[in-house]
Amino acid sequence: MNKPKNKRKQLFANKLHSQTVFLVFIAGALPAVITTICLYYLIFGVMADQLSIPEVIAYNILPAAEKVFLILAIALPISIIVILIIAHKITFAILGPFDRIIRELDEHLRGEKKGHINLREGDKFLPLVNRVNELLDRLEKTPDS
Amino acid sequence: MKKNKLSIVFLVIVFSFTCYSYTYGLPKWFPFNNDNALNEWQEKIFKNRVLYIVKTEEKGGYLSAKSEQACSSLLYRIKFHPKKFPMISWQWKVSKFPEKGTNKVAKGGWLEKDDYAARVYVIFPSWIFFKIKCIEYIWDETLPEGTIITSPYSRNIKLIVAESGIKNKNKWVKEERNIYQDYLKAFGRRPGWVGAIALMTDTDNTLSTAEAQYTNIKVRYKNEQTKE
Repeated sequence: MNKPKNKRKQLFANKLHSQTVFLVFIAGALPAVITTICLYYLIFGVMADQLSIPEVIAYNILPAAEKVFLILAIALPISIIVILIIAHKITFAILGPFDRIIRELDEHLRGEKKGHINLREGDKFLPLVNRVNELLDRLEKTPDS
Repeated sequence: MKKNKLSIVFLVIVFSFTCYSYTYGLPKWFPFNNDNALNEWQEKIFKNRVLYIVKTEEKGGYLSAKSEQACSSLLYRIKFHPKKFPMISWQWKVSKFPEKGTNKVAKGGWLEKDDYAARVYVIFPSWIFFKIKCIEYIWDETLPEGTIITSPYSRNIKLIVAESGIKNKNKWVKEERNIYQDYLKAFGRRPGWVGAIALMTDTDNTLSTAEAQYTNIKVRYKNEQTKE
């Protein structure tokens, strides 16, 4: 018995989607990383330079720096993953239907398909597609079509 | 025109030589023989203030340190590479050691005993603050001379017992150390640039008192007799 072939679920709808997610990810992650570096090295570094004596640095700055590092080590990856998931969801809702609309419009243009272009609830192009569908309805009603 | 060019070249040579001499060429010596001797030093107060006073006498001056349950140091920023100028020397005298066995407040652990009548720091800075390293030459009552121990605060701090016991109490003792070799022994690797030296007499952990004197600190020089 042949098993049905599993369809590979793509992470990104298209190239534009992957590029947009990457852009959003960079926009979120880069300032976070820069802030971390600034906080960790510049602020603590300046404080260490002021204190100068290594015992005092070890006694006063290291415990605080370790706590900050621990918080950052936990919070930074989580926040980056959350940013990534949200960015993926939003951009998928915007750009996911894009290819489908083009494909269906092409089918209409070639005359292979009639009727409405279908979109899912929550797709961001729904208002646009509704108008396109209205246009398609009108075109179908005209005698020349 | 030619004269002008020659003058500029001459000035550049003189300026470069002066800078070189000031920065690298000459040893830095602190005899503490005038009232302004501490002007170049920065005081770093951590827990109460140790009384550091320059005492000028006919025989020569010295820096007197008196700590009463306090921890503060004097720091002098100086940049040199110990491979080129490995030597440091100083004279010190301890009049009163911290009482390490009588602290009623402390738990009696290692950290609580981390007080020394006299310490001389050589600090090796780093861009990454937790990689700042330091060797401390200490005068300890009990540990044998030459012992190298790691500070209870950080493994980047190594304490080297330069003088041990009470037999030389109230006597001036001269020390001369090779920073490069000591660092190599303590950390097992070659040192980077030295960024500062410091002096400290502290009794904040033992909650006792200590008194010490320092003088003739000489740094950034090369002992011609020492084979590297």
